[in-house]
Amino acid sequence: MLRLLLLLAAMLSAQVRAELVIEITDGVEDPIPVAFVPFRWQGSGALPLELADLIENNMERTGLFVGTPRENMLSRPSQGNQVVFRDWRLIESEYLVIGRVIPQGEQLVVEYELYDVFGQASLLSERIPGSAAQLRDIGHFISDRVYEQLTGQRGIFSTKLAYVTVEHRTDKDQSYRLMYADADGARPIAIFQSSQPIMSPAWSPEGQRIAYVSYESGRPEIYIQELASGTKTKVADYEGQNTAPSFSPDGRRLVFSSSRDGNPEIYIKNLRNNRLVRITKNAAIDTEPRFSADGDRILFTSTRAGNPHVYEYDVNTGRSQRLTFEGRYNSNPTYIPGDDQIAFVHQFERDYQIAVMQPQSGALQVLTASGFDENPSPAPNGQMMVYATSNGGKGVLGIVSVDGRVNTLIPSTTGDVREPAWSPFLN
Amino acid sequence: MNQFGIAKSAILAASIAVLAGCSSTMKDDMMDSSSSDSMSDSSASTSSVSSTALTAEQIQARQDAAFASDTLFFFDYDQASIKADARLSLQAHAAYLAANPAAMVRLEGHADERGTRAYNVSLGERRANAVKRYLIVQGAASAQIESVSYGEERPLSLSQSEEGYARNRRVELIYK
Repeated sequence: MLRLLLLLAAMLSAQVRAELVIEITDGVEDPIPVAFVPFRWQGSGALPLELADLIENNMERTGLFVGTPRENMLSRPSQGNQVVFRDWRLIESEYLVIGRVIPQGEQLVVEYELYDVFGQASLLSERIPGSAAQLRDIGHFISDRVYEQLTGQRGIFSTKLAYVTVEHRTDKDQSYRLMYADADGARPIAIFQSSQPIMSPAWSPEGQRIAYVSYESGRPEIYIQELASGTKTKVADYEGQNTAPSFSPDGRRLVFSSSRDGNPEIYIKNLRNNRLVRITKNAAIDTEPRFSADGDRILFTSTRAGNPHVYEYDVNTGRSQRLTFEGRYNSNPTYIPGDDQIAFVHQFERDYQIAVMQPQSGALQVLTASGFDENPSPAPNGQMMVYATSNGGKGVLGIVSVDGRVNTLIPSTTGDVREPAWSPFLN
Repeated sequence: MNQFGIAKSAILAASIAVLAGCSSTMKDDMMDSSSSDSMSDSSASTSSVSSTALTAEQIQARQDAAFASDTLFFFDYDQASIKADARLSLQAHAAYLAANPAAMVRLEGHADERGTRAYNVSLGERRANAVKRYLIVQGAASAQIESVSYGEERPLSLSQSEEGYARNRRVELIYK
């Protein structure tokens, strides 16, 4: 396997205050070479962001593409009439991305084009108005367009991540933060912080709310926070432990685990009329529920057979079925959008790894290898998953392609990073 | 142990009865190194000397030591059953609670970092509930006991080793 080992820290310009730094640890055998020519800035002064760098980093992180080294470029076109295809054929770039940024009063316009070098054809040509402050969003938007044009899959570069960071001083002196960041880890903001544990962030389907567990009252209770206003509502403060929230696909219900009746069971709460329905009943632990995209099924973890295994609840029949049989510990399951596989944490010997399985056939594939991998959360296009792992004893995030061919680490510069949740599409 | 000094006389009668009926030896490797000298002395004497031969002072010293030093109870991997060596100390805590109906205790359940976080909250809860049930069976009232699970959020040891994990799989008993 090709080891790219690209530490992109050096490539991120100094003014980008990225808390998370991407490191590609495993790539595909033959990524497609694409030339990203630095965009021409037609105004005065310097732009806060080089769009070609941002787009190139985004595309490389998928593992499917590799940027043509700038020093090999024979010309640096910024608009269509300057493109000489021979210059790009000679250095074997299959695709070419060019563009320019034009000042318009206080605002600016970004024009970009995507070319098929060997087909000598323009594939995309767009004009995007905005401001200097929006350049990063514009760069992610262009990345989404280019990715979709070249792969046929919707891009996830404009989506967000939520995750928890912890700075640990002693077992009772900790600082927890619920973070919100771009999908590449840039622009992290703390949307809630507490000296008590924060756990299990989960996005609402429209991407405007995040449910999570907070111990701020001294025990685990579930809150929903509106991202725009910061308003936070307590939705599950039942006696016992209230954990592992997940929204229904219509955003009107929340499924979670609670021990309000004495034992961890799974409940669905209607957020409009507060009606609570219990869907499991046994002496075992039932937890970590997650709705399917159609809302008809719920994956969850149960110890009803002794060890933790993945089960699926059928909302219409009320029946549950065991899905995992391999190994002695399978937990924290999730559906993968547009894929018939599920992902979960699988223990193999002493290691905890992210695995995917086709429930019909039971065919299981292990995707990661650190031994401390947990919390898989798929991107909304179903191509990649973000997960929590450990690097040098420190909690960090990893991103792995669902086929396991590409694995990248996002090392953190502050605290332990854990429990990532990938947002839905936001536009 | 001083905070429990006022309860000494109250629990003495109960603890004599408890200890007389208890033949298990005390295990000291889970105890803090600060536990008193009487701890190791008494654990040796349990099997060789019948408890009726001990003076009331000796019994009380042993009782106090067990009571004050044992607020941490450890568990096996992915298990929530109380170990045999925890029983003597838990009996003492139960006796104290029974003798002091106004006393309140908080049980905090914990798990090691292996496995998933939400699952580990449930596992820590099972451990706290196992201790709670034991205290109730031994005479404490349910209303005196509050339990919460922190899962793997509050490790005592940050070592990714068997020793570190063993130290983190615990219930902490905290008087309020």
